[in-house]
Amino acid sequence: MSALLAVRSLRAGYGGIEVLHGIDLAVGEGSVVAVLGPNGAGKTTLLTTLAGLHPCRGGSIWVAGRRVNGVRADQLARAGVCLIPEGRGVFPNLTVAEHLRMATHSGRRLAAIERETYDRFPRLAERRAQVAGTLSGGEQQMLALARGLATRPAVLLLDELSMGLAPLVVEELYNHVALIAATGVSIVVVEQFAQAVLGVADRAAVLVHGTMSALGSPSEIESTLSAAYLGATVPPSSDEP
Amino acid sequence: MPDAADRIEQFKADIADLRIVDPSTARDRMATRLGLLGLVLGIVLPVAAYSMSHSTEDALAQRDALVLALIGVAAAVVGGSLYLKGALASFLRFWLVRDLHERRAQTDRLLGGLSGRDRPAEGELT
Repeated sequence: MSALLAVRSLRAGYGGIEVLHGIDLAVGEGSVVAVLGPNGAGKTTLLTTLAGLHPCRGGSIWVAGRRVNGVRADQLARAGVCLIPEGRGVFPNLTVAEHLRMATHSGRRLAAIERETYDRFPRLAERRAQVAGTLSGGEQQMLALARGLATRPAVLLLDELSMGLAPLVVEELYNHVALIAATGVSIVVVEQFAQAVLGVADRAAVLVHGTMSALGSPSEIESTLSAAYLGATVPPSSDEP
Repeated sequence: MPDAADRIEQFKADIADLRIVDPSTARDRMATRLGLLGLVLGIVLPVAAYSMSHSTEDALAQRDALVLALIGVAAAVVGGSLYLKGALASFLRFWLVRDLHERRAQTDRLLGGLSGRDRPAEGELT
């Protein structure tokens, strides 16, 4: 499987402070990569840099086999790289239907967007005339996802999907993420809390202090998480010599 | 999933069509353009100053023309430096790419030549 999105030795920062110190990551077509890490590890900076919203100081970003350092965020978004930011970013005074209408800027017909969205998220169909500010946290996150998906992204960048949501809602949202990946969309998810995302991820990475401290299959990463978060060491298994 | 496959192909095509300017290349190009502008000013301003000083007998206006000509000379010096910097950076970047290309082609030729020959038998080289 070829990597639709890849970064090599990516460095980024704010002013005199470097936040990402040489990140290497690759996301294949239709695969889900989870980037986990504690608060302040640089997860959001990684996503905003991938989306073209934050300049990279070094290294390279490759999208569909092309180096895209310096490309504008709107160019990437138009091509199909979609960032769903932390905190959802829905407009509280617009209805669900109005949010979907906004997504027609991508050239798709409203009827097609609504049909796809309401098939995927039936709960949004029930709330179509309701303003987003009165939706529950989970419904707002669904709306943010739906608005992003309405642009038919090829690469989806999800920032803290589970923030402030109940575990059951998070599980439901990640089931949707798995279904979206099954349609061929490449997904990068950053999360602080691991359990929910590891169930749907193909690969996972742990980001600590701006460096990748571990990269592997979700099951491998799950065993190293305690060390990454708490500074604890993982004891060697008893059958090792 | 033909629709998804089409979308990925469309995405690849869109990314391939993107006009991406490397920030460092853009800076060099800007330096070259500013340098050219400075060089042009370095010619235009002294000529204008010469004609200005000739068209009047007012000493004050002639001194203004003198200052204008000196500004032109300064613009030419700064512009020349900027142009040289931008042009050299572009040339060296091109040279580096050309050198890399030639080395890669040379390695490919070498590997091609080696694969075309039979491997030497054990101890043949000793």
